[in-house]
Amino acid sequence: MQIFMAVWKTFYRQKANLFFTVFFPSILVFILGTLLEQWNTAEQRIPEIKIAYVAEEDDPAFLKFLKETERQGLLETERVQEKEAALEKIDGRYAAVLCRETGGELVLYQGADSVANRTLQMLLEGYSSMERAAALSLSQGVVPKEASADFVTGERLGVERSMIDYYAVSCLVMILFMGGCIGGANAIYEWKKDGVFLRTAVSPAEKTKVFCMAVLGHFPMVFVEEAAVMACSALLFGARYGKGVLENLALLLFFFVVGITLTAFGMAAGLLLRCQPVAVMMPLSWTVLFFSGSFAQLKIDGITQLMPAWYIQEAAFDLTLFGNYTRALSVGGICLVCFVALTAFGAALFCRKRNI
Amino acid sequence: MDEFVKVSNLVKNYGNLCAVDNLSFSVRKGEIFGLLGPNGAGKSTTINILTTLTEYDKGSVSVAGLDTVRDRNRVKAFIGTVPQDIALHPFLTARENVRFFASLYGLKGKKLKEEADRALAFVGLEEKGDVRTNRMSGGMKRRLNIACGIAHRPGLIVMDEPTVGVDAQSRDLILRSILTLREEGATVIYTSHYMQEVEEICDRIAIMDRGAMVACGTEQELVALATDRKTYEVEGKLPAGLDRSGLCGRILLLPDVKDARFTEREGRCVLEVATALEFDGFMQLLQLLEREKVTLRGINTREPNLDAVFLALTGREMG
Ligand SMILES: Nc1ncnc2c1ncn2[C@@H]1O[C@H](COP(=O)(O)OP(=O)(O)OP(=O)(O)O)[C@@H](O)[C@H]1O
Ligand SMILES: [Mg+2]
Repeated sequence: MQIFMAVWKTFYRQKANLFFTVFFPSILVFILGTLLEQWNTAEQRIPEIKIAYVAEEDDPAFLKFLKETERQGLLETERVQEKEAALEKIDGRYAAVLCRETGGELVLYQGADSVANRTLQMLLEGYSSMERAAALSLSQGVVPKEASADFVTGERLGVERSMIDYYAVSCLVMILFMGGCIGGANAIYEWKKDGVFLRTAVSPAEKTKVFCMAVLGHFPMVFVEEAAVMACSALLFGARYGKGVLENLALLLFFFVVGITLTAFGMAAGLLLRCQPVAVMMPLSWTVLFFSGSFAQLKIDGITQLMPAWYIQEAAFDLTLFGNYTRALSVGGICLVCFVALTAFGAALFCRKRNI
Repeated sequence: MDEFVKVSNLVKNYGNLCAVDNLSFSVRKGEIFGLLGPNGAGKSTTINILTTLTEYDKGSVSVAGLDTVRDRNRVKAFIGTVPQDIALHPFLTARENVRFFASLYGLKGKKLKEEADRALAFVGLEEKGDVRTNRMSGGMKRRLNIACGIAHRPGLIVMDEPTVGVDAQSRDLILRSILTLREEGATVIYTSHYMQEVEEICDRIAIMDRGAMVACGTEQELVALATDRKTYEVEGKLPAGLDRSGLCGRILLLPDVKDARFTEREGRCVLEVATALEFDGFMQLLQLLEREKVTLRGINTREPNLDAVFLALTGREMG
């Protein structure tokens, strides 16, 4: 208990911590969000998504669907005959290529533009579920009424989204990385430097317990960090996260799990490192975050997918933008497993260390 | 128990460097044992081995009959450590620090609070309990460093240079508190490279140099080991035309006088007379000088100290 309190007190008594973990990130959300708002909206307006489609049969419903989306300004479509030739032009002329196979199956060849991909995916999912629904109605003898043309317009995703929202999420990921890895490693470093290790080593206290308590001591810190950043950027700068209270709570919980995992990682790394941990952890987290596209919407195939931060971010976006919990659940689950493993690893390291 | 702490044939190497070289000593229960030596003598290394912090290569160390390797945890519970480098949480208050470290020794609840306050009062910090450590002065930190090591009432207290960098007042307080600890029944091992401190409080002293034991015993024993003489420095005005060597010759005839000579010191002429430690002819010396019409201005007695012992035993100055 004393250990738990010590970690917590050490955190909140450092004024610099407060600034770096709460205020600074909120400002960053705001600055990045507003600055990039202008560029990005122009770049990613949905009408700019241009796709090629190959239809092997003239399926009237499908063609009508594409025409409608075009009419609403959602997509720009172009029918092509040569699938292979069109595929070559992905990321050039077209954002993606859509194939209506003979059996009615839809195949989407995606490009690198993740916003376009997501939009298309959504549209197509909507379409195919509608098809299924229509088939069901028909089989039961009900002729579906023609849907009113502007039935979906204006609704969009339910919430107006801005770049601030995007950065609010990616900044949180950033804070968790920085705060978790660096904070965890630094706490260990300071314990080493301040001789807490030494006194622990000469005391009969059980080392595993001491280490676990130290990890536990970071819990409130992680929670306060993320909750404060979320509250701050939401209240002061109008960033929005999830759609409702439930989504936001889920997001908070999700980020909390991520945060403690990163802290455990930082602490284990802090035990391994001999030098000032910031010197290693800082570039490390920046690199990971950079390749995960947390700063700019940079995405490099093959590298980005290797970055843990990317998965965390994607899961968070799924949760906030689409209200989809599956990814958050699986990433959160993996995080929990990692957390336990890292804590055990750290405790083992801590026990072995006697010479300081 | 005569051998409360027993170190035998201890060897510790750091690569090629032999930090502790076949060291043996024992500490009796209830005494203050001083470990004295210049920088790099291996004091801290010995202490760290004793507190189970460092592994050693050869030999054996036992505390209260328990081997420090086999019964590590029991030994640890028994020892209070005051490390050479201040070991405190900078962002916790004095009281929180003491409680934190005492809790590592299993103290809990009311007992923890009581013992923490007692330890703080013991080093004179009861009024500073709520001051954050990083806002304390160096001397206060030193004292807190001690409080953190003794709150769990250890039977053996191991202090590694606890007075480095503190003013005379704090130092007196620390030294007095160590004496109090002994009165309360604790055994204390105290390292330092300040002769005076060790002379002041230690019952027995071991002198170390380059990892090896140079000498061990009470202060008197050590002094007797190194030298059998003390020196009087006589300052005064000599009558004109005094036969200096003749005077020296007559002084040398006195019993127990070993040497007599004139030396220049800061432009003044000083007569140095070396005698046995137990010199009974002091009056005779004075009478002789009076007869020679020497006007006495002052006499200094130079008792041999541990510095001289160290010099005599190692051929080097201490520190
Ligand atoms: N971890 C280490 N690795 C290598 N050499 C070491 C280590 N610790 C101490 N030494 C060496 O061992 C020797 C003894 O060091 P020690 O710290 O015991 O001296 P000390 O008597 O405590 O000196 P001081 O009065 O300066 O504290 C020194 O030469 C030192 O350089
Ligand atoms: Mg030392």
